[in-house]
Amino acid sequence: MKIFFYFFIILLLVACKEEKVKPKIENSPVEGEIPIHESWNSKVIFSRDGKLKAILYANHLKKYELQKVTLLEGIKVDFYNNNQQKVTTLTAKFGKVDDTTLDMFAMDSVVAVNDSGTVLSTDELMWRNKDQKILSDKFVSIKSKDEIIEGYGFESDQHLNNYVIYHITYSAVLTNNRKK
Amino acid sequence: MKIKYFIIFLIISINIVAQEDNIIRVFGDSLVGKKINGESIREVHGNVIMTQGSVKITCLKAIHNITRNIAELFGNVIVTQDSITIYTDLGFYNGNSKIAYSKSGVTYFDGHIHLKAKNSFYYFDEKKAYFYENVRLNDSISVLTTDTLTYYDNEDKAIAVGNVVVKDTAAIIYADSLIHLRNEKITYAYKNIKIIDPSNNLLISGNKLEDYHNENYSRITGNPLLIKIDTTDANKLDTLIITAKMMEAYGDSTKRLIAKDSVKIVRGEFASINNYSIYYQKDQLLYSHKRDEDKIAPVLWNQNTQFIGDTIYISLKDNRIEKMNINSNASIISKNEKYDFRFDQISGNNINLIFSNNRLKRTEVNGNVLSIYYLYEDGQPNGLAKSSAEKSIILFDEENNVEKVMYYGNPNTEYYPEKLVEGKEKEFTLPTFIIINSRPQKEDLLNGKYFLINQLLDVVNGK
Repeated sequence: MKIFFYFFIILLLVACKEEKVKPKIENSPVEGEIPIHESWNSKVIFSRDGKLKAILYANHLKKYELQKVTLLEGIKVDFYNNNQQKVTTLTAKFGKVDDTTLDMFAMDSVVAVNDSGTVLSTDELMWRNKDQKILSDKFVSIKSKDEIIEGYGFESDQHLNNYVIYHITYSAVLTNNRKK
Repeated sequence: MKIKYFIIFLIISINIVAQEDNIIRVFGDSLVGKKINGESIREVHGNVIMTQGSVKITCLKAIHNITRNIAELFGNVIVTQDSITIYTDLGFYNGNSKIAYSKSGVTYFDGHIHLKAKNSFYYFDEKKAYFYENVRLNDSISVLTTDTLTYYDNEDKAIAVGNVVVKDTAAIIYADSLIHLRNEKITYAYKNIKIIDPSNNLLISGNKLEDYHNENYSRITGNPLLIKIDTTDANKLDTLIITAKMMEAYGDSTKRLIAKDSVKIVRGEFASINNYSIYYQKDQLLYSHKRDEDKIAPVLWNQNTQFIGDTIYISLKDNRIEKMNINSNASIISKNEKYDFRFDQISGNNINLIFSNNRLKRTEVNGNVLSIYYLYEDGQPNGLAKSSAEKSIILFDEENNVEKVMYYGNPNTEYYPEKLVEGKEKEFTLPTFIIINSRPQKEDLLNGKYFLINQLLDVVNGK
């Protein structure tokens, strides 16, 4: 019991120390409800019509029944195309899944990398299940070997091949071996 | 060792600058990224600004093919580089070659000239623009229209090809092609050149024109032909035609036009051949002279009279001959058209002729006067008079016939009756007697180019 108490105090102190360094992103809309399910190093599979759409890996998963929400920490999501090939990998510090719509939100240090090496970075992202679209209204940066795109607001397919960025600042770096 | 590091630093710096020059930056309201046929496409919408090095493009919408580095630009497209600005509604930009082009109507401005055309290519690295179809260039003093035009911004040089027309306040120039150096104010024009000066009712055609504006000098070669139309008192058109191997114009205070080599002049009953003529526009003076290298002296014809002299001055008044002065080896030969080889002849050191209403009224011959005059009574031949004196004055009647001949200073006259003259006319000639048969005709000088007269008339009449 004492050990548990000391451990709780240490945890509390660590948490307080972290808050001084960086404000903690509020990723828990659930107050006063105890998670119905909690797991570590979890894996969640999203599929439609028997086809694999995405696999979510989370270091820590908390599922709340009343609010129909799942909170995640330390997440990684692999998105798959119709040929069941992995096309995009998304990582973030925190995440949230709406258990009704199966929409997923990624927060804090969100990075998505597609199979062509295009890297998307933002603070917050939503993956909408119904159309498998990735959305954000925050500052977004996309980097590839050819270009850097930056803007506020983003909408894309989950392969990061077709997207819209709003209020953009964008540079295409040309290489010297291009054909004229 | 330090130098080695400096060179390495320099190479790195140059590389960085070169890379910076190759970066295209795009700003806009929104960007749509997509892949079409494996090529990365970026659509930028709203308040688009694209920059690459010194090139800046603004438009309403841009579609940038990242793979090929080609951008299609839509709506109120404005391309700028330093002092150059290009406007169009639909354009294309190649980021690799740094070439912008449009086929939707282009306006170009470089701070000095305004250029408009249906189509245009602009080469940013070379600062060279190529325009074609309905090309129109405006600068401070003139308007140029042509089929195609290449403009080199660094050199301020324009090369126009095809149906070139240049209009300014003084003249209109037509040519197949033209080169204009704006800084030097030099213009070269080639083939089918026509210069029309409406205020002077003047047209000059040729195959090569050189105009040196700063020197107030221009030169036209390649069968130059000058046509000047004037209206007589009787309201008839009076056409002056001049051909030569070269014509030069000086626009300075003397305002003179020079015709050189194989000069031929025709105006109504007046004609001339010589190798060097100057026309002073302001003073209305025509001057012809024999140069050292010339074999024959200037020859003039007025009606049935031939004039020869080493130098000939013709003074005009209201575009009509008022006075003529022939100096050195001067001679006048008049043919009686009714009789074969009956030439009235007179020679001297110099001859002064006075005209009235284009008719010869009085001739004054000075120094070593020699003359042969055929005599007539009641219209019938009546021998001839051969005379010599220091000075002679001949008066003419309204019919241009000799009315009175006066001799001064040791006058000497021999009379030859008709019976000694008839059939032996060729024996009665002065030492200077020579008949020049190459009197130029209007048709020969125009050489089938009557349309030039019509074209000049159209311009003069404001059509």
